[in-house]
Amino acid sequence: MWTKINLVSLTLGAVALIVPTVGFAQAASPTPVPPSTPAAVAPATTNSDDDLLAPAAGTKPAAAAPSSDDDLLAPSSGAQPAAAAPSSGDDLLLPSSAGAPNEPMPDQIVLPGNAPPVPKPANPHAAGDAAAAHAQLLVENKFPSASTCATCHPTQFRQWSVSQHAYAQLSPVFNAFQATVDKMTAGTNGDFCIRCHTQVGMDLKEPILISNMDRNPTSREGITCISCHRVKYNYGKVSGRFAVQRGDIFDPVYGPRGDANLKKVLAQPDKFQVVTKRGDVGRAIHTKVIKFDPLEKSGFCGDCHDVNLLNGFRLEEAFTQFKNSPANKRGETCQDCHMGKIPGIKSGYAFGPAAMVGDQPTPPRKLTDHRFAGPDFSVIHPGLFPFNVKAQQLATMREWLQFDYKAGWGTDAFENKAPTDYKFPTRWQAIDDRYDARAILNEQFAKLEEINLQRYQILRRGFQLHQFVLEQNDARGIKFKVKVANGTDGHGAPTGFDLDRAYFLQVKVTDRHGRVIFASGDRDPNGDVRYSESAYVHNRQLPFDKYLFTLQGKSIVTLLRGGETVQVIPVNQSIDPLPYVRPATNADALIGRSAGARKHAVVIPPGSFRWADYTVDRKLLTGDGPYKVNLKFITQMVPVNLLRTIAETGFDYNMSPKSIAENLVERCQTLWDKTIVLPPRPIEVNLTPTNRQILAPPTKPFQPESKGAKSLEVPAAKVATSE
Amino acid sequence: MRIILTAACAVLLGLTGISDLFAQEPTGATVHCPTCGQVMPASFHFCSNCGTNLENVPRDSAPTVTTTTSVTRNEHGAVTHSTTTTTTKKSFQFSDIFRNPLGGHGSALSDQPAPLALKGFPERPKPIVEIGLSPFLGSGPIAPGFVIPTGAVWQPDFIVFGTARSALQTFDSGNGKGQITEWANRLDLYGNLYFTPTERILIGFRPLDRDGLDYSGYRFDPPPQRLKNDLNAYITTLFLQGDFGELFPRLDPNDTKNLDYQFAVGRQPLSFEDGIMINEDVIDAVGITRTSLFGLGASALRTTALFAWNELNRNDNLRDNSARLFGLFSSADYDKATIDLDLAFVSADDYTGGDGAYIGVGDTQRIGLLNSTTRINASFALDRETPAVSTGVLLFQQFSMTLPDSEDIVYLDGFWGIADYSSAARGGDRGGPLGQTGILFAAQGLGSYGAPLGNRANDAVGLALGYQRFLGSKDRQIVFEVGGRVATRDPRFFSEDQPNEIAAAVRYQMKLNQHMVLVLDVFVGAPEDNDTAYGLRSELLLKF
Repeated sequence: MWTKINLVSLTLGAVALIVPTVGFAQAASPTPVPPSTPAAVAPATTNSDDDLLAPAAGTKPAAAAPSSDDDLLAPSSGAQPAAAAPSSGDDLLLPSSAGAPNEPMPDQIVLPGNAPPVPKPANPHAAGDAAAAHAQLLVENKFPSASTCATCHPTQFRQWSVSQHAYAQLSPVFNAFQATVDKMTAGTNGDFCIRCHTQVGMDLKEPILISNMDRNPTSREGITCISCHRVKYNYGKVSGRFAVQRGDIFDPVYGPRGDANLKKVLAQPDKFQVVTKRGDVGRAIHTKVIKFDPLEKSGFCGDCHDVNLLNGFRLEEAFTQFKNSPANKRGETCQDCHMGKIPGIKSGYAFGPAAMVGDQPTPPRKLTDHRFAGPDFSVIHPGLFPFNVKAQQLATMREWLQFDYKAGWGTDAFENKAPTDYKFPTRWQAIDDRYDARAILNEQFAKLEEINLQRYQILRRGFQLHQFVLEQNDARGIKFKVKVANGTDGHGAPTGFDLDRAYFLQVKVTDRHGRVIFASGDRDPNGDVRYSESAYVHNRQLPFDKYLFTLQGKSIVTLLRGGETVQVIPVNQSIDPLPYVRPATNADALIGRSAGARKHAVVIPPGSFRWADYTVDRKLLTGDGPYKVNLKFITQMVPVNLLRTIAETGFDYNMSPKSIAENLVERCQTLWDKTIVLPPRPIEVNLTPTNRQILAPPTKPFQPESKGAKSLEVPAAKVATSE
Repeated sequence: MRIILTAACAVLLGLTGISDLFAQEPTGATVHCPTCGQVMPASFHFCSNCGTNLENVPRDSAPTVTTTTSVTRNEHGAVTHSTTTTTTKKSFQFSDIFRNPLGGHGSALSDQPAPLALKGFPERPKPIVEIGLSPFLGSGPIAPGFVIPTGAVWQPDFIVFGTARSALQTFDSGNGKGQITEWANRLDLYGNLYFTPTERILIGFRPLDRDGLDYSGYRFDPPPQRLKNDLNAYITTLFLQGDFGELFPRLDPNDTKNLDYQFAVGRQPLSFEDGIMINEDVIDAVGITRTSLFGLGASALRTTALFAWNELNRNDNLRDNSARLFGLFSSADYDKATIDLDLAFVSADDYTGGDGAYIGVGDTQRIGLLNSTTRINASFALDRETPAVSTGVLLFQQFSMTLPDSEDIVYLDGFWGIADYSSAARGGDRGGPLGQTGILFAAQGLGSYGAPLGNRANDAVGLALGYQRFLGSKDRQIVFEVGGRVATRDPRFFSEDQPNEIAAAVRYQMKLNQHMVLVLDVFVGAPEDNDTAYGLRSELLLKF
């Protein structure tokens, strides 16, 4: 028997030889909790004017935007083709009519070679090599860029350019998330997630992890025009695993209305200066629009917006939630609320020309809004997003990242005072270029403010405070509760990627002197609320916020033993040090979850509500009443702790976790801000917002640089409606 | 024998570097003499200058050297690097004992640029067989597919995947049956045919073992030594699953009828209530599920109706061809907790075991930073009590917590079996219902290496206390666990396999490469009135 044991032991020893020695590193000593950073407390200073009983201290709403001080480049109107912007006195940005060869950089947009006007790189710095141009042309022949579509569909392009769909692949947070999941699963997660975010890139076999600056321009457009309008079938709940039809600009596209209007254009080629044959000189145009009804039905959205991993993990349930909702029973569609006139509610559609072929509008028809406002927002350089053809022509992405817009480059205020020996990057040494860039950025800021407004409105539609109930206010303590409601009945609030939506209620109780005696929903120095995912709470440097009201779902993994725990990314490495994403070996359809991980949803059901309860212990009372309760409902794209978790694989554009976190916190939105002076006896206060309040503009700009930017919103008077 | 085991463990731990974990005082730690101020290495017990006793004088830990590299861009956009090194002394605190010296990263976010870590990023490991219109989770074109008469668009893809396990192990339960030493192998081989991401057929084999009881390999001990051949072609898994609405989209062209009924039919594994109520590896069943419902005030409600008609193993792990199972299994997410409510009924001939009714309620939640799972399961023998079905209650509780400055887990799991709780269905190799209590209560599912502690819940209480430590990264980990169980009824009715016993175990597992995992286990137990129990094993696990 001993012989056998020795045999086993020796075998174990031999195997163990390949195991590297474990090092012993000293733990970082616990540090005292630093005071909240300005970024962390920024939202708290945001104020609204809808206090009930007492005015809350804070800033006034942003003043009306003054006119831009930069007149070098006139903002393009929504009705103007982006590639054919009217002259604005800027000799660098407009495409040259003379015949210099078009030599774009790899990350520049190339319009169809035979579609005049063809913009050429406006400056010598943006010129690339011919091989890159040829490579891009090959891709253009398979997957036309949104910039190509912009030639005749400028309104749709401009709307899309600032949408979450356009941002999907550019997001450094998404890419780090994707890379982290792939790394944790030894690469077996493959293209899941990113397949939706860049259908074109995945079709082209681009690497999963690569800088967007090195991707094909069309693939970095994320969910671009052809991601929906070159889809042949209604696939159903396939989690984005569908085919995008290949073809150049002349090949058919798919639209809900067919090609009645297109035929009218094609019947008058001289008037519209269009060509339908490859090689002909003129404005290239698709030769057919195949009528595709599903584009107007909810099921088409469900192709992507119901995400089920192949191992059984149900990540997103938006479409399934919708199918179980009252809105669906009424016959409403996703498009009704998310592509209509007013975001978040069925409000009819705009009416107008779907295309501007040259300067000729096509006959008016129902128009859908392609901004798709939602919770995500940009944290990257405004030269990179929103998509802007002129920005792409002026400089490469890497060059844009060198443009220090925060320092004021390209503004009179900066340029007039800049020292003569100020060192600019090579690309931005010319003052004209800096002014050109600033003019473009002013357009960008305006678009960012525009989508910020829409985001604000749709989130206020979905998340509402309906009631405040004071149950007790005496020497024994204070008890109150807040009714938080889902203002829609089309799906849960939040929905979609609810695992990582930082939506929470921030509550502060102050005494007569303004001293905070109770806080919940306050942030740690990183910007997280004080829950288990906060690094400061996890490391026992801050106490757990037991009153926290959050609608962020919980990502749950099953432990080797000990039940389940919250883990920021639901890849189970406790049971298995080598998690593999393979088809579930059980019938996951019957379980509704994968074997080792799941989502704990905490969404508010459609049209429903949830109470947030608070108790201020008598020990916390100062005796200096009356006390005031300040309520803020805050929405933030993702929580900061996600950045911490995914930072290991790095962030695109060489960003740091902290810089992204600061952007997240600065640009989060305080949807509702209410202050209530507590009377000595129980009260109930109705907080339900009116429609006017829901549609009110946000009280702070998306980013400070937006001040002075002109709105590009199409005047409502010029938009006819279908209802 | 014990000396050899101890020596083997010592060699093993030393070679794997695990012994580093026990190093409490890193090189460079010092002690200050409170009398004369002399500074000496921490190992000094008396002052080298004045002779003061230093036994109770706290030691200073080694200086911590922190190197910070700053990456900045100058006004030309060029990247510049600057490095600063600071040396600080960290005084030892009691709480440091619980901090992971390898896993701590501090709390503050870094303000240093984090460039993409392109180097070493894993490529997709292709399945060994990949046939179809699209790569399995790989980049590249996805074929459009074709429309079937129901209106569904199919994109067929077939892949083969699975796991192979091979272990060299020795085990002695201490009950007098002697030591078993063997080389055992298991292969779980699957073929998956996707029609769409929601509709698929899965077929599975375990060609190297029979019913989880006999495994191909080599038996060293007890004699005679022999090669074991348990090759077979028995189909262990074969089911079709899908979504009714996705399969017949023409029935609801406007997506308004809500035909989202998921279903599965065929031979499949099943597990409910963490494997307490049902833990079957092979069962023929049909089930229908609704998910993402909003009933009962839940944020998400899932409910499944199930009927199983064949290959049903009862509580005694034996197949009962007369048994039929009816079940209704629900799970609901609420703000603070996930609640499970599972009901089952088994109909069977009296002479093979008899009817049984089963109910399970589960509550999983976080209480502050403490994870808690509570399960209450009850079984009722509707005819007479047999090994297949009996009446009893099992109370099951799990606690766990992640330690600060680390991802390490400590857990405390316990159970209390009242009377004779029985499961509705338990596969041939699934043992009793207590496997989730601890690694000491679970068999390996490979060969004859059984559960160190009995995992039947008949009139007994028990617990397991464990610590899972991640060694720098999560793909290397070690688990320490101690546990025990005590019967709560007359010992005359004890089963010899379920004695009062305490035991301790260590598991080390690590990822070797993109496909392989190494698992090492050792345990020692002290069963009442029996010899010492022990086990030692190494396993290589291959994924493909």
